[in-house]
Amino acid sequence: MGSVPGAVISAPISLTFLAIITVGLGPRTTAPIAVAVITSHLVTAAARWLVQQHRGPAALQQSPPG
Amino acid sequence: MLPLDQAWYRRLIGLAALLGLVAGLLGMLYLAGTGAATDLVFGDPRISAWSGDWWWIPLTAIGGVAVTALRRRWRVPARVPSGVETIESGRVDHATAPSWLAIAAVSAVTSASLGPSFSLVIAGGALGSWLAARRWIDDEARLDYTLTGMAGGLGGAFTSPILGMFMVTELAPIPRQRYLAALIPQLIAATIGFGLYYAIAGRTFLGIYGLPPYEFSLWHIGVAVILGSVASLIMGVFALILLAVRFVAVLVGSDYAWGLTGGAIVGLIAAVLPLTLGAGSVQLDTVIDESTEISVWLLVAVLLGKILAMAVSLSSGFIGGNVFPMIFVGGTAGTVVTSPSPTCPPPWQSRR
Repeated sequence: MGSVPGAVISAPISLTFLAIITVGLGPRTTAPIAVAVITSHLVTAAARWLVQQHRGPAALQQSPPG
Repeated sequence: MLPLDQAWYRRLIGLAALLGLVAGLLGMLYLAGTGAATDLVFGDPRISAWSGDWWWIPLTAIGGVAVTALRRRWRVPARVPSGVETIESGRVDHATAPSWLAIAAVSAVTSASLGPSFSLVIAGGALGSWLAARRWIDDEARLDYTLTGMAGGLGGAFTSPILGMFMVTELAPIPRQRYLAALIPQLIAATIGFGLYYAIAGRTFLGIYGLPPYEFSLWHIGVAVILGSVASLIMGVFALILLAVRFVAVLVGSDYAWGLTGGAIVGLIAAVLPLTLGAGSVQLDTVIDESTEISVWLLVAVLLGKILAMAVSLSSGFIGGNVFPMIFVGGTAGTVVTSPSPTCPPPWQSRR
């Protein structure tokens, strides 16, 4: 729930918090949710960096808007 | 630490509550108005495939033409920044904001597959920007007033003052040394925005999606890494579909023809897969509640349909936010992972 928007929105704390409050789970669930959100953002950032290296800076302009 | 020696900041501290109140009220009116209209037109969420009404197709097609006409009339640029990009820039043009809000409302009522976050950010931000422009030309003043308005709007929408404030402060271009100074008026505005929503609606987002009990184990961290990677892959698929849809839009050429076609495609997807309608908040509740009744293949179809509907909506002139639709995509993807068999608990659920 939080990790898909986390792929393109640079707000890991908000998205982790959003996922936790909407499903009403306790603070112990924070760790896996935060890890999923951060992983998704890092993997996407790495993929965008690779695309940029391969195709030039114009490729970044074609990424989906957050 | 706080710039209390500056008149604009002292005034902002005083006005933050008012900004939160008005931004929260605008947000509530927008959510209530568009929510009531879509409920009236489309009714309760429907689960089964092919259970939508076929007249939704001409309705959304008309919506596509209407937003194209409005964009031309009000000279809206081809590229409108998303709500998140607007927060990241910290700038809202209060002169153009009403026209963008009107188009976003038409988009929501004709059920473009987009959410309300854009409108809430623009409404609150425009209010703050307008207030700052009346008295101060200072860049810091304009930024802080605009962000405070945004936090007020999001505090009500997310029904959480902390969440509304965090969303703005995490994304906004606030210099590190001014972080606390910017945070305080935002927290005040978001709290008032939330208080207004809670006083009127009497509910919050807390626990709106009912999931089974959960007990944490260390190996769940590994599962989280895999799920995070899958989420990134889903957004990669979305980016590719968006590129393909934009390519088709270029081939079609005429913005009216593409508005009509794009609207019809969104309506067709909704008629075939009604769970792809609108922002997705209510629909995600249905997906989670009825997950044992919905086949995995239907969930996968809804997931792909929603991604396609979002891409077409974004490229065919509709205006709206991406946050709630992306949450729907993420929640549905999570439900797909947990649904291979209703009798088999999800891997991260405790086994007793």
